[in-house]
Amino acid sequence: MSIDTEKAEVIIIGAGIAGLTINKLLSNKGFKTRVLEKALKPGSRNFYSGVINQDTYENLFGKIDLPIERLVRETRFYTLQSNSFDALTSRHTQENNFIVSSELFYSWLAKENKTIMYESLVTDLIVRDHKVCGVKVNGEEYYSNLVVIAEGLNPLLTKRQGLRKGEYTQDQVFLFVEESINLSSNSINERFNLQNNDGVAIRLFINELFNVSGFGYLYTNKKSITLGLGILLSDLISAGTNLNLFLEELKQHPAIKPLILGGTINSYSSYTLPIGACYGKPLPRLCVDGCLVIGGASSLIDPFMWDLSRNAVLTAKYASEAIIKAKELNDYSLKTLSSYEKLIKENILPKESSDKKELNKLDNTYNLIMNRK
Amino acid sequence: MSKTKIKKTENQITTIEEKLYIVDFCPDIDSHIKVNQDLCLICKNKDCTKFCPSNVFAWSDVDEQIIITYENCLECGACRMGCPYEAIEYKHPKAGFGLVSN
Ligand SMILES: Cc1cc2nc3c(=O)[nH]c(=O)nc-3n(C[C@H](O)[C@H](O)[C@H](O)COP(=O)(O)OP(=O)(O)OC[C@H]3O[C@@H](n4cnc5c(N)ncnc54)[C@H](O)[C@@H]3O)c2cc1C
Repeated sequence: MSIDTEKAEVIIIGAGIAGLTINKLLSNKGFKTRVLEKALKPGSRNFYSGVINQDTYENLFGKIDLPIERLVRETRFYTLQSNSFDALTSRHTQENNFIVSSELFYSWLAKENKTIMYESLVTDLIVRDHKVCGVKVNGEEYYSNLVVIAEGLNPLLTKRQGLRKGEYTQDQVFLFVEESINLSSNSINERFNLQNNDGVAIRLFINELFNVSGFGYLYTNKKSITLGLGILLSDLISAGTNLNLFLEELKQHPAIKPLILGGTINSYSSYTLPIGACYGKPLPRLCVDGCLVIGGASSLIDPFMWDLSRNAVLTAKYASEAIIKAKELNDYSLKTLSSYEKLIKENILPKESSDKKELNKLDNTYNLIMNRK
Repeated sequence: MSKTKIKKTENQITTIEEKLYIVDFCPDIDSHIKVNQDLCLICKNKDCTKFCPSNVFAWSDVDEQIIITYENCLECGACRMGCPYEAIEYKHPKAGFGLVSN
């Protein structure tokens, strides 16, 4: 029969950034892996484009050829008031941040990969003698030495398996809506004062305007603009207004309106983004016997970073190191796998000693986003 | 939020309903979202009918229950966290159904 009946050493749930990254890393080391993805294509596409730091990927894969929309030549910060705005621009000479479309980027990460099975929704983990030993997919069972959960930012399995206690709270999670708006590349270059492949990433501070915690972003793609707006769910609920109305009001604001004028919407999407363990919230259990949790599901995504994929990639990297060690020792128990959690604590979570410093550095963005009434 | 009237010119897509028209869905025949209607009955604010970015939830005065238009779900997951009674049970749509990413 096909690959379906062969036992993989490692099963990876989710062909998103984290899952595809760890799949590449483990395949390169000769592991027999299988990625199970519920969608028809890699990556859940709840966003149109985003900012990627090339170094994040080159540190792992060596020189790469990213499918880019535009180079981030400028980052801008707009603080919006009711009829005006303050703008701050940084111009970059370093060419290592790029705006990429999620569709092209995910396909690039999944390229030449024959271990991904699409339309495969994992509904349960198979647990025997307190050890995870496989998964249930569309009513079938698949076994492996190890299961890596890389299910992303809407982590239902980790909750179901009791790895995460309860849901994120309303004051811990941003709800986003996003649109991409088609415009000619000439109009984009004129409106943003750009040349060739140069682009702009803009962060929008909106709490004076809307009196809520939240932020917006705008990215210039080749021939379109991505505009997103996120508001803390608790604030949105108190406001009693739909997020789409806030987005429409944002689109009428003098800072935004002239930039998108005459464009046509070509996508509308929505996603949630939690303020997780990087900001002192509890970490879910990342390791149990036979199973690791990486990427968005680990709650280690930092919502205030430009490159939202960075920490997802890092968790994949550290998990792969722990897995390689586990294979050498032929021991996939918590005892060996817990080196993953140690690496996370050492390298991703803010260190306790330097905690204050770390927070001060962050304070600026954090304060501008969180509305402290 | 100030109550600016949004001027609507021709061809402009502004409402959720208009926006959903450009989203690709492949809806299942069963809903991946279920609510506990007993709790919905005692819920005063019915926040889900306001914050859901694709208006999946609507209160029917006639039926005295929440009507779920799961076919329009953008799969953000906010309803699970936004319901004060934890009355919403959300699952991923079955493989191959739901939001189609193109
Ligand atoms: C260009 C680009 C732009 C981005 N912009 C944003 C942005 O604006 N906002 C944002 O929040 N993030 C954005 N990101 C994504 C963000 O980087 C990732 O969501 C985050 O890093 C988490 O990655 P992940 O691999 O854990 O999850 P994801 O990339 O979300 O992947 C998870 C995958 O698992 C699959 N899956 C989930 N459950 C199951 C299951 N039970 N069975 C099988 N498959 C399952 C999903 O379908 C999905 O494909 C962007 C990424 C890129 C590449």
